[in-house]
Amino acid sequence: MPISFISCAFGYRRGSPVFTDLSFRLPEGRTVLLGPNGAGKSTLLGLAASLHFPSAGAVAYKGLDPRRRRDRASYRRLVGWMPQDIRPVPGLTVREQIGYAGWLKGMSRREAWRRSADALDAVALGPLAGRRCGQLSGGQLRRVGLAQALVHDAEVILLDEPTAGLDPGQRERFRQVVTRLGGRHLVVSTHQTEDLGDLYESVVVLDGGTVKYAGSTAEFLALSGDRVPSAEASYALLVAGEA
Amino acid sequence: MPLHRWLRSAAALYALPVMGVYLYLLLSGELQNIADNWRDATVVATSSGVMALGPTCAAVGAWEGARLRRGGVLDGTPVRRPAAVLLWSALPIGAAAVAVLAFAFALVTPEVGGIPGAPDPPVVAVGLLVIGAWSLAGVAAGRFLHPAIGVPLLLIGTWLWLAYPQALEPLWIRHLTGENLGTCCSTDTVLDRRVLWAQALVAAAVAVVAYLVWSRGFRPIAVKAAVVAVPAAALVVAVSLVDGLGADSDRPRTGGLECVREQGVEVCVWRERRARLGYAARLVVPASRRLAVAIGMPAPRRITEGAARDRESWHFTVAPQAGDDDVVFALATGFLPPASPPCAKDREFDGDAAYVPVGTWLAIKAGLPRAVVAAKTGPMENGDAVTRVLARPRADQIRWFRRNLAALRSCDIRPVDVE
Repeated sequence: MPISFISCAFGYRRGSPVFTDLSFRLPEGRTVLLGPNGAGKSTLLGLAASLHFPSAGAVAYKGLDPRRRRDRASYRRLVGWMPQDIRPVPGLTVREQIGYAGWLKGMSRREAWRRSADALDAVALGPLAGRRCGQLSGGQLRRVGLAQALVHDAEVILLDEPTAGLDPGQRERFRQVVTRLGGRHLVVSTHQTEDLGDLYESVVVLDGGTVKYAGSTAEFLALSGDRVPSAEASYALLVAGEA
Repeated sequence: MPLHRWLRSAAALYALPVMGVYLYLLLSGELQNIADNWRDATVVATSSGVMALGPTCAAVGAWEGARLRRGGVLDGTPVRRPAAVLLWSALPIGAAAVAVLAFAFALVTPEVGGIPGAPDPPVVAVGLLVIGAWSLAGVAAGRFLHPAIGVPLLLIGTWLWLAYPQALEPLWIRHLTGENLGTCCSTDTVLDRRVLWAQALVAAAVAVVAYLVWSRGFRPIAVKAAVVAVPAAALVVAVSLVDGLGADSDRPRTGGLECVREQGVEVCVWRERRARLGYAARLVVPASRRLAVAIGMPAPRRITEGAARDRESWHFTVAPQAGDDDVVFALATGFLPPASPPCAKDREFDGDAAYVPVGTWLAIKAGLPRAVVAAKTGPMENGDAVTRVLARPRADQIRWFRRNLAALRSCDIRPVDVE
């Protein structure tokens, strides 16, 4: 994965840093970002999305540093971000919301409108294109968020807890949508550790602002040792500092 | 996203009928009073537009800003600059404002129909700038205020800013808001461009502050400083422009006359009235000769609706519906001062008593029958005074006229034989 964190320091408040000297490179392909609450997963994705900027060090992708004004627009065109909290603009239909998101990402109005149909098809929301966002269920709204991240054809897609609060059926539908996303780098932060092997090629475990693990999913599952390979067990061992 | 899709959900679309009705209510009372020129029509339409649209557009802006806040538009990672997002959000408001202002011009156009000229572009541009600035202020405020607070706050606040200074002193304060163009313009006056510059400056400052707050929030010290410094600087410059103007935003017109030569006398009317130039000339030239004999002055070489700058130039007006008697009466009463002298504010002024008798005497000397004059001046308590003066020798009448004309211009001279 091309997004690199180079000696990054960041904190929301002075004196309580989330990261002090974070240096690593996100893996290529599909990556799952695991970690307990407060580990810094959302902050890491926020830095990668250029929502936040490090107080020291840099985030870089293809030589672009989003903290530099001249690089920021180019960087953001290459990176799609789906926040935990999907907040559609009141009054817009699903397709208008996606089209507006595309325009915000620098696309022409015409192109954004055209691409919004493709993005809705990608997240299986095409039949709801004309519905107001305020009338959608939580799971549908998450897919709107995903479509917003996809509409401008970004190379890197960052999804922050996309399945949090969804029922098993909605999670399964979301999983199917994610499975169909090919040819892009994908980073998903989550608490759900089931089916990791089917969905993701790499795993990053974050705890206390440091990367505890970054490697292939197979190696991650193997961390559980002699026991039956289990993401839950590997994760528990990593967070406990025993792996 | 196509424009019509964006407009579909825009609050401005739903506010459009309200804006139109409000503007119509404001404007309908003014239509009958529009002078026969496009400057007045432009000012009336634009001023009413600013008053009707400024507060509404600001309130709609606050709604739109709150919509974007709830949609987290600037909290994400947009590529578009905040200015583009702001302008795109304000676009439906601007489109509604232009549409309603066009409606205002559609209402005033029949009132000035047939008169040469066109709406004054700088006046319309400044009106739109004022409306646009308050719209942007509304959108910016909506980013921080819940619509339940922001919408009424902007509606009432903007309305107060536009309307309330009219009740304040010094009088020139009203020239800063953008609403007080309404005192301009009769056909012989033009808008003082300093007023336009002052209003444009203040509106531009509002727009700059709105943009800064919208794009960077209130927190940065630079924004806090700019929120104070930019309007303050604009106000200083704007006040220096309008200071001393008084309540009116107009000044005497100097150009735009069209002239014709009639029996050796040059007669000039305002361009808007050129269709009546020949008619007026045929009436005023003989009347002026009769008057010249009566008041003991040489006949004029020029009779004009513009300023009469020397003893050989006389002033008159030929209003759109004026008949023969009206034109001659206007020429005769053109000798009367248009207002009491400045000293009348602080001192006793007796000259007023001479106004009607002198006017009556002049009109009769210009050739109007006494009954016609009486119909114009109304019942005169001191009509006998004029009758007595008319019976005197010519030299006495001239002395009487000159003495009372001087009394009309001074607090130190008492009128004589007017009762």
